Amino acid sequence: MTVGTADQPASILPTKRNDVVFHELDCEAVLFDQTSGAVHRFNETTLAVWNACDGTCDASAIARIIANKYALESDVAQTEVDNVIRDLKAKGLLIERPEPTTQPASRLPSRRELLCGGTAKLIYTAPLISTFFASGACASGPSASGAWGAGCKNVGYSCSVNGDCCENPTKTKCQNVGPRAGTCCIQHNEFPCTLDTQCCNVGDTCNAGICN
Amino acid sequence: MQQRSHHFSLGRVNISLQSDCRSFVDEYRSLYESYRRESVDGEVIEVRIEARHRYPWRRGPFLIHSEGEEGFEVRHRYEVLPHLEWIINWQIIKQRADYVQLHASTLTSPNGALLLPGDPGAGKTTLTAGLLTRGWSYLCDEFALIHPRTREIHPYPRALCIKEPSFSVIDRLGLPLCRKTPYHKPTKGRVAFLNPLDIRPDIVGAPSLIRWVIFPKYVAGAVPALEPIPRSQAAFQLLRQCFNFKAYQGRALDILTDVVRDAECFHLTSGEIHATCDLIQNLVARTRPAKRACA
Repeated sequence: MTVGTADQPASILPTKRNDVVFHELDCEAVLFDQTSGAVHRFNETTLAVWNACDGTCDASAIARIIANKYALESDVAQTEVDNVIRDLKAKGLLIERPEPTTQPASRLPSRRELLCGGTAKLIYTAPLISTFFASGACASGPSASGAWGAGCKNVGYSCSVNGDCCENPTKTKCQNVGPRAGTCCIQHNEFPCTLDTQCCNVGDTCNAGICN
Repeated sequence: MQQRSHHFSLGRVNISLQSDCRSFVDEYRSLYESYRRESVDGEVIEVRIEARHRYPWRRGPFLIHSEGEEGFEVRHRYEVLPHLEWIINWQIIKQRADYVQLHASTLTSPNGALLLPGDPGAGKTTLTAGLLTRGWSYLCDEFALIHPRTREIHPYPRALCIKEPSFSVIDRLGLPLCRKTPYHKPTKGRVAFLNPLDIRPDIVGAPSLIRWVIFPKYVAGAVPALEPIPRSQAAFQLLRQCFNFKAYQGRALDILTDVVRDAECFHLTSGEIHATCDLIQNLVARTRPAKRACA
């Protein structure tokens, strides 16, 4: 049971964002978050928790759903659900709403909660969320050529993080030290370069398209 | 004097080549003569090859560029053709936003298309060569050009670029690999080109829907093995291989989940080429399993 404080309600209702591109495939899912540029993949258990995050079930109720679905011990289910919710929150995929104060923090699950997410018993696998980031959506420099993808920054343009720079298949990164700090550049033994100044390593030269 | 443009139409990709060095045009024509046209319509990739210094005792360096943009400067003439192909690839990614583009080899059979996505060095091209000897038709060894409305893969039948470690494999397949010119490509070392039309004159396939998505990984000495993977994992991995994901964003996910929904998806550990091709041939001969219902 979650203990409440004056600043943190005793129970919150995790709510999945509805502005992500979401596709369910064979009881798993792939999502694209346009805000962060992240692509996520959920396995079946994570999807079950995600589906239960509809703003009407608190973490305890979701754990009861998962325990019932996979025939798990309640404390095991609670730990797994808490971990998934924490992970989803860290990835910016959940909105948290305080539970209405007229309801006690600890209560019997409603019929709706028990029906939330179904009741079939399945083979349990540990929750899994895989994530990768597409190159950050940011304006390109004076040249419209973003090398391998529209919106990512080409070699020589300013950047804040590696995600700002075109990464596929040109292996550029955002240099954070040295004379080329804050610009997208080509890493050692990567390609394609046309000038020495495009190489991240100051000592590298551009030979036949490779920084070495 | 204005240089003459030489036009080629490879599937859905039109190329216009100019060079002040006739030999480079002849090299390109030796691979793509069947695709040469008097003129081309629609979107055209314009590329130029220039010799930067002209000395009787020395050739080069050579500049290969396109659309007035920065290109590659290479020192030796046998680096020109690989970099020319590279520049063309680059322009396809930039210009052909009318397709979802994946880094993959693609082939077709009467039952549908096979998609072999993967990073460089996964063994896609060598495996493609092997399957072409088994009767598969050829779409491309570098790009999967997926039409966003029909979800079909369209052909860009460029020559297969074979790396030196695979030369012996191509020899064992009995394929005509031209190794007279020691072409060199960055990070891949020595390469040679295989013209698929030298295998069969009718080898180029028609646009097809994808039936199999197989992620190959070559492991020397391994026993070839196919491992089914969840469709969500296949879609996730395809998005990582998407060249123009940023142009399509959420639509890319829509399109690629449609693709995998109708396909069988696997990881492939590739080994000896004949055994690996046998494995794939056996797969496509089987019926597709029913989809698992969600509880």
